[in-house]
Amino acid sequence: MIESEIELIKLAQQGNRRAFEQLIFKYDKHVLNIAYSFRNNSDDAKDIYQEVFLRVFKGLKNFRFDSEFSTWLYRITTNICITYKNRSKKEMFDSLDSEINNGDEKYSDYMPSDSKTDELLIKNETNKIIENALKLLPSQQKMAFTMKYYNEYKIKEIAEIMNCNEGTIKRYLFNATHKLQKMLAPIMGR
Amino acid sequence: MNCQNIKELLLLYSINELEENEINNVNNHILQCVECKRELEQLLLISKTIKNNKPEEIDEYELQKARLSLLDTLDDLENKKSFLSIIKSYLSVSFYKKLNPALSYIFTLCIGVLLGLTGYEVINIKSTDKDIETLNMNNEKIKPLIENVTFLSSNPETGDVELGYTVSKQVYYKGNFSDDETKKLIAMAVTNSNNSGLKITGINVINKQKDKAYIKDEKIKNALILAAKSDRNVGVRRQALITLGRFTPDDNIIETYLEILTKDNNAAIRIEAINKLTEIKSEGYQIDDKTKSIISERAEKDDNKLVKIRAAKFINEEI
Repeated sequence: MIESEIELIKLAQQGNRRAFEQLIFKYDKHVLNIAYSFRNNSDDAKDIYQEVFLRVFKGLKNFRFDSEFSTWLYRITTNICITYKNRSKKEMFDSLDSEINNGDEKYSDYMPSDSKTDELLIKNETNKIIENALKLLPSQQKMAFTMKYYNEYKIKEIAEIMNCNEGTIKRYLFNATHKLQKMLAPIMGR
Repeated sequence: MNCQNIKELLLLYSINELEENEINNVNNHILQCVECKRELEQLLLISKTIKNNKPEEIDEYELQKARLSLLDTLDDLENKKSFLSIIKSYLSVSFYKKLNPALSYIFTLCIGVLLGLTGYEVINIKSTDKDIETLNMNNEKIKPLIENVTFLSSNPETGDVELGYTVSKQVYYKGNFSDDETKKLIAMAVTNSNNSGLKITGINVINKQKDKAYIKDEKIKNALILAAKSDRNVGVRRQALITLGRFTPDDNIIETYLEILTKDNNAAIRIEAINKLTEIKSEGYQIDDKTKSIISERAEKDDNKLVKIRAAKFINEEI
């Protein structure tokens, strides 16, 4: 951990709100991406994001500098992802999405003009198969899988974040990949 | 190495988790073993397929929304904390601890009686012309200093609103949105409340009124403009900006949108300002050169990619 981050954490632990915001905004995008990779749903990802940082806000005083702050933070993130349950929410305000996006578009929907229809169809079908396969995985396996394949962590890092040994992560990946291999076999022409 | 050992390494090979010597062992083995070679090719293909189909990173706009929501929640938590810490510090005052239990009871009773004597009054305004009257202990009329407005209920169907606010004593007010005093109180709630949640509640009360007569009310409009431009809380600024969209656009409102577009440090709010300008354009309002010039500048110079895209889209639609 670099000196300036240690100082920032100490200030945040003393209740300095600005320091807290500065600290979390270094990592929050990654937290959101971990949650999004896991849930594949932006509303769920934002729910998880809220919960993670509220827990960090309340629990930061207990952070003892015995690991990297990022490791501690991502551990909280993965734990919340794993235990997250869908819940219906009453919206306090009208959703802004339809207004901001003029109701019918997202900025990520700008498709490159040279996309071929067939390739898109195959990609969509593959996406669905992968998504369905992931839904069938136990949460711990799914988390190891998304951390490895989507967030590109090393097994050693995943083990540290998920607080288990490397052998367990390897087993999770082995099981997840083989399930996926079976489900993808028809379209991969095996 | 035999096939059994190698098979355990193949997956790790496909996800770049092997050391150099292990990679060499696998490479050497697959030169002689067709089955393991085929297995490895399958795993490499799986790995490539998964990576090619990984979900896109969540976009900047969603991140901004998540941040806004988090900052609102942290504000609310901190406001609750400060109230509780006041209570806590009161209770831990050292002289209070030293009093014996009987004296402590009497002391608390005295505090309660004092608070009761400052009392509550319920006021029903029957006429829209009548000023709010408060009476002091000598039954004399006094001009109220209004603060800490709280919302109790509102009925969008009838326009009835129930509020609480602090004068020198707590006052309950029940009136109708068409009353000037009601509008004055709500405008104050939007700008003067200490709690951003209360400000947002006030803005939503305005937002939900079915009778749009308030759109001609200068107090309400100015309160929303002030909140949209300068409230510290991004949630308040956002809601004020959205609600301003219900007002008939005039020069003040357009100036507000432009000022927000150039000065607000939150990208989502700047995008909302462009959306509001788009809406008034679609209602037939003429966009002048100054407005176009400001939006063009944002399309080139804004440090947020989404704002740039949105501004560029506005300008392209103008051409």
